[in-house]
Amino acid sequence: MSHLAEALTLVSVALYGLAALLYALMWLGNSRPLRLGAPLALGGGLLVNLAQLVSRWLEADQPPFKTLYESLVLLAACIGIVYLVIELVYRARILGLPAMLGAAGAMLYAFSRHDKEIVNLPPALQSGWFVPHVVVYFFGYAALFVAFCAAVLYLIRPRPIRIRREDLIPGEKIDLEKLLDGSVRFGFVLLTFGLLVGAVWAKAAWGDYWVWDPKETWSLVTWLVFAAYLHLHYLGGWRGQRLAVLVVVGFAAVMFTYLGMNLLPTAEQSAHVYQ
Amino acid sequence: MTGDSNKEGNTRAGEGESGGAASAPRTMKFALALLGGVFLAGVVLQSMLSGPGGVSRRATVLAGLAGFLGVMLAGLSKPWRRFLSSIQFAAPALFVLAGFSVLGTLILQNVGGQQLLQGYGPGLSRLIKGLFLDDIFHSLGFAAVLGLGAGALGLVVARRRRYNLRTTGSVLAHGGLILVLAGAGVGMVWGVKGRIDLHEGQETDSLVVPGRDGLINRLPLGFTLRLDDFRIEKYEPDYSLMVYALAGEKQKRLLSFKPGRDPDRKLAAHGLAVTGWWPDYRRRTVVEAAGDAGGGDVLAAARIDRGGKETWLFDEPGREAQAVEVDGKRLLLVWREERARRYLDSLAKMPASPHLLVVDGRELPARPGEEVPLPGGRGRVKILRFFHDFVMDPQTRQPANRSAEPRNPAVEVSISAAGGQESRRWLFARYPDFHGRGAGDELKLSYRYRPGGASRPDAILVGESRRLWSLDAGKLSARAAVKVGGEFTLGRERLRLAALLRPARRRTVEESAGSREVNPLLRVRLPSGRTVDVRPGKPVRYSRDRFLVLAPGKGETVRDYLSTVTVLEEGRPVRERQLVEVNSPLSHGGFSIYQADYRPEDPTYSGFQVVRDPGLYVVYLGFAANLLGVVLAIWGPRWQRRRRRREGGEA
Repeated sequence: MSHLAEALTLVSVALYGLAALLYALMWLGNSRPLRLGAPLALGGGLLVNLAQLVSRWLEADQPPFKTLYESLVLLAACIGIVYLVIELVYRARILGLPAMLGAAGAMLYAFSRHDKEIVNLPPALQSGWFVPHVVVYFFGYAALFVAFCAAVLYLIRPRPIRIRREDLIPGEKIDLEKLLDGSVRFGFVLLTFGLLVGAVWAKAAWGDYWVWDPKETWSLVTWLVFAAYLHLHYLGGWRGQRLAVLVVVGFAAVMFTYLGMNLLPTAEQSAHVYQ
Repeated sequence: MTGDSNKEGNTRAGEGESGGAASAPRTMKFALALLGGVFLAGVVLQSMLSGPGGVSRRATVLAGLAGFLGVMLAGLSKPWRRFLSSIQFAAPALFVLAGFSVLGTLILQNVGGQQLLQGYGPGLSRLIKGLFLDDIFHSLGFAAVLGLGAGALGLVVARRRRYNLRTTGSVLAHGGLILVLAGAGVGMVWGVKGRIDLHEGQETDSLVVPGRDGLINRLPLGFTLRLDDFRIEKYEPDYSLMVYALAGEKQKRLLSFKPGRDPDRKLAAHGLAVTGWWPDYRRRTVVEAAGDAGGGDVLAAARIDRGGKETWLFDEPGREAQAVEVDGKRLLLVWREERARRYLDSLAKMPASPHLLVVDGRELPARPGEEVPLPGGRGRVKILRFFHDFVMDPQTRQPANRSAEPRNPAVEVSISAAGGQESRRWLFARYPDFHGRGAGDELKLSYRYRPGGASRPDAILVGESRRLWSLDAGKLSARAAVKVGGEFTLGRERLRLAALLRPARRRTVEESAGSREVNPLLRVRLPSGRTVDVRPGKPVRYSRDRFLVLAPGKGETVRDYLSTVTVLEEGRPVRERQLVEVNSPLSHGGFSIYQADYRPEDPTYSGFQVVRDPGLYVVYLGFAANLLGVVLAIWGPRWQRRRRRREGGEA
């Protein structure tokens, strides 16, 4: 990997970190520089992050989503974009700190990885389905990460956050449940789309749309958990703490699906395990 | 769950049905018990039906269908219908399915009993076997639970409701899942999945379907499939030097260094330095004039141009002159006329061929292609092929010469025994015992190679007098003058004597034949100061815990597996030379043919997965309905609210 790419990774880590710091300062007191500075730092980090994605795509002449390193860079960008959209839609900055810590963390993990070299795509991945499958899933993961942040905040402070709430969400009462629910719904639609695209792709590549590959199975597990969330929330009337716990469990399943496949005894035959 | 929250949920759902609010936890427990009971019923059924190869796919589908129909029947009663279509049943069902799925990834699937025993111990492995958790996703219990779920989905879909975007979404999402399961069931019962194995040029009109109990069935395709050719496309290897550290059993890559591209300081950090990089390494001998002749014997050399290609002839002091073959004729350089004459005399005493086949201690001179009678009337032997430095080319799997020197002379001979049987064998001059005697074969045959003068030259270039001596069967037949820069003929080929050097000097030059990485070699100076050559496939360990590997830098080396096939019907090609590659199957006659297999050691072989799935489009319809339904159910109410707000504003 070129030094420029390594430098870009560190610059985006720094900018996401700066954004996290500024969002953290907002918890203590609000000011115009903070309100402007935090999204600017986020935007800067996101731009550098996207520049890295695009330059690698051009350099490798293939979608840069093969290695864990590449997927982490994509995940960080997705977290940045999803958070930005949520801040704009819900006009809430309360999740800025954890979301930016997540993006910076993903980039930092990417920086520490040893699989930074560009690798060739095996024949199965050379498909028009590759990009939509991966990108949709990572936007879904990012949305569920934001939901997870909201859930954890809710578990720490279940009552509406009163401290300078006008700073974090101008003009409106902070409703963490609404944030959490919006993120889960968005994430669930993307999980569904990613799962079905993956099935259609598998059919085209191997002749089977479903083979109970461990990652396939675990993505079904995450889908079932969040389907249970939707049913319990909308039909079972689940609210508050236990709903937040369910989201934490669901996100743990997402993380295990993403990073934990190596730990499974059945992982050997999987088409999805990162080296 | 509290009554209040339940009520609120139902209000938001607008679908109004759920179990009694106060008894919700009890209802959920009942749901769990029901799901567990159905699973166990499936287990019991499977242990009654199960043969050594497990249950049939048909039985699995029937178990699912039984679960589905059971729910439908139960749904005729209103309390059961309410219960099975309620959240009190849905939530436990979702968690139970998730739980089974997790089990299927934690427990090794489809492995032998021995492996289960090793992995889980006697007690646990008996439990796993007993509950059929070692092939959970094809077990009757799991199928019955899925069928139960599908039935509940059916009851949800059949429920009476007021239609809006959200409820329509709910019907589509749930109905879509029923379609997916139904399509999968149809595929399992009426679908066919098998394989076709072909070599280039072969054809077949059937596919092989592995049955239970290891039996193999052949099913007709309804057409003929011919493999015209198969090729593997590779990426440019893009070799990089990898520095690895050994830590116990594990290897950790510390560095990947691309020679010629990455800065040297990357390596310097590990105390290493590149002293040479050749993408396509070769050693070439350069011949040049070496100043004054001086006295005594010195190396003489002649350069012959053959239509732009240069060939060197040498006369080396103390060695027999090596002949060069031109159009089947052998040409030698001998500098001194007097030595050339002596050489001619010695030729007359030598056997006619360098190849000697040894039978019972008797040497039989043999020329390739000539039949030689075996002593004692035991038949005849013939040299089919000769390699002066035999090697099996790993790529083509064909014998070839490794170098120009006679380092490992070998011949392939055919033996026609007196009884009429033919056999072939390889004989190696350096390994007289190898293949000397085939199994059940009494003939003891070995091979000796007498290089150099033994093969008679057809012409001698005499350097001193600048003459070309033509020979016929080892005897001088003509002499002609040649000039440096002048032309002469050998066989049917016109040659030019480009240079005559004496004394000459040979120098070995290392160079790259081109910029493509065909035969890469990287020379590295180690921290100890020693220099090593690193080549692909030959790791160099240079300290207790460090080693170097020259390997393709981008991992995967295969870009694509490509089979070209022709479909024939009644002997006539109907689809000619169609490409089948990964991600691009060929569909014909209801079958889809997928590129599935290759064998590195068998380059003309290609394996296909062949699938006929009559349920596929039902499954795809289910996918589409589910996705659309999920989107509508999740975002529909929001869109409707927004529209109402807009309309309200306009009013």
